[in-house]
Amino acid sequence: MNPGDIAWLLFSASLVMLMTPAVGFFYGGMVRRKNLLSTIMLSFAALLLITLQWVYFGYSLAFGPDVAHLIGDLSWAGLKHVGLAPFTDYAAAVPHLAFMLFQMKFAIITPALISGAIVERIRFTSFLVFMLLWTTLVYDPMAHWVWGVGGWLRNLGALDFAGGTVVHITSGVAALAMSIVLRKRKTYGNIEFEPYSIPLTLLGAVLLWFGWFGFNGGSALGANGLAVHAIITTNVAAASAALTWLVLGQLRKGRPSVIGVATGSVVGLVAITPACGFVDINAAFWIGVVGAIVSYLSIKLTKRLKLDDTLDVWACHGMAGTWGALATGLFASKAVNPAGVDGLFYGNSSLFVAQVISVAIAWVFSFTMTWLIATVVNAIRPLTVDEPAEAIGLDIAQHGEEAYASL
Amino acid sequence: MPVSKLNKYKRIEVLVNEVQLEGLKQALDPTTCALMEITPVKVRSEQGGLQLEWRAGTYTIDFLHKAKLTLVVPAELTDRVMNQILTACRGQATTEATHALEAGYVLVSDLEQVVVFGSN
Repeated sequence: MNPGDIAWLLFSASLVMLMTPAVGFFYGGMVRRKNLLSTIMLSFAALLLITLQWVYFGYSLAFGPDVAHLIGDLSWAGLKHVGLAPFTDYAAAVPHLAFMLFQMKFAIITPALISGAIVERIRFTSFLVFMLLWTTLVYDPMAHWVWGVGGWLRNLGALDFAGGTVVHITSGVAALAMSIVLRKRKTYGNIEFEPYSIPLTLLGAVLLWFGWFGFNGGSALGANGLAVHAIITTNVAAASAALTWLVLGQLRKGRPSVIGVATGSVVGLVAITPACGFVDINAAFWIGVVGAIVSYLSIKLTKRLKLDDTLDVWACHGMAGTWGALATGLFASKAVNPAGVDGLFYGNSSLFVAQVISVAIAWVFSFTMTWLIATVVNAIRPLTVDEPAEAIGLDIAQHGEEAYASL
Repeated sequence: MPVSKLNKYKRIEVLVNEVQLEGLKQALDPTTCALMEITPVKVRSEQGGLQLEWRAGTYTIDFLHKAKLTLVVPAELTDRVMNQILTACRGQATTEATHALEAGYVLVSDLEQVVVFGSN
């Protein structure tokens, strides 16, 4: 074992831990004041619920001994056999528990991302049930397929450095399914309102950017050159996407908005996630630029289709994640990471094919399963609140609190 | 509880853009007013709404920020105070470009009773 690697992985896990409440603040700034606590709480709840899910059975399902290339068995449930000795198939230089902790933070943030699609109308307790089922039935299998030893997408040769497919496509597509299954907000299309606090959103974006250094850099699983490379590609893509967002705003004669910059940087971070440890700096620049264009147009499409994906989770995570996964198949280079594979631009088409297959599988699997889970939970106890509760605001109606007292 | 002997009071509410507030305050003699307070308000008027930037497009808000200055003055001083208000506000109207910003309202209403407590 290597002390430097252990320190870096523990610090990375801490950085990724910070990202989940950061998602809450990022989303919270964009809703109305009466729903601010509710929005933050959805993310924070993931931190509590999925920590326990992961320890007691989630980690075993995702990373435990393979069953039919589809799922881990339950022999690691309750962290049995997961101790201080390294598990060399995943991370040879750190305790198995450290790897488990790092992966736990990914499992936590993924359902928190979905919450942006259904804020301002979600019933808190029903969403807790949904999160638990979704993480167990969607996230854990996807993580196993892509990252678990024996997982069938991993065997196919698909690459996902830090979770473009597992985290962002699955959560983004789940958001799309949720915005179709759940009723729209009563005010959707009728009332335009100002976001409560754009500084809060920007602060959330900044904390996400900061945390993403652990999300992507930590995925190198060691304090090494690959971690450095991943952090730099991450930073470049965030910057190029945010600048592209500004240019897109200028092209429609808009003014350079802070909310646009915050959104653009997060979209760039999403897009580079699967590619950050496989592509060079110039590729990172273009992944950010195209990611911003894809998400920007997808937000327009969401509005045209009149989908109440309230905070554009599908457009920002699903679509930028999809582009990032495909771009990995284009730009990946063995010169950057000898453990990777060359992409289409380096003369190898098989990686691109594997990426297309894994993207398609993630879309179909996440959409279908989310639809089913949401429909079943909704039938037992509605996932949305009733009209008076929505009008009063979820902070008071669901949590019995107000974000800011007036006196 | 001391009840004012002057039983005729007027309430004057002035809705103006925030930029005019300082000039207005300086023009008014505080000794003529029984009460002067400022409240931030949102006003929908013939100016129409305001277009703001969202992530990929714009949205419109109907109500614009204004400052509301509320004055309580003895009825016999109403005309004098009104003149001070209008002179101060119109005096600031300088260019066509800022005309819309300077649009404001003055509302005058009767007060039945004014009670001041906890003061000499």
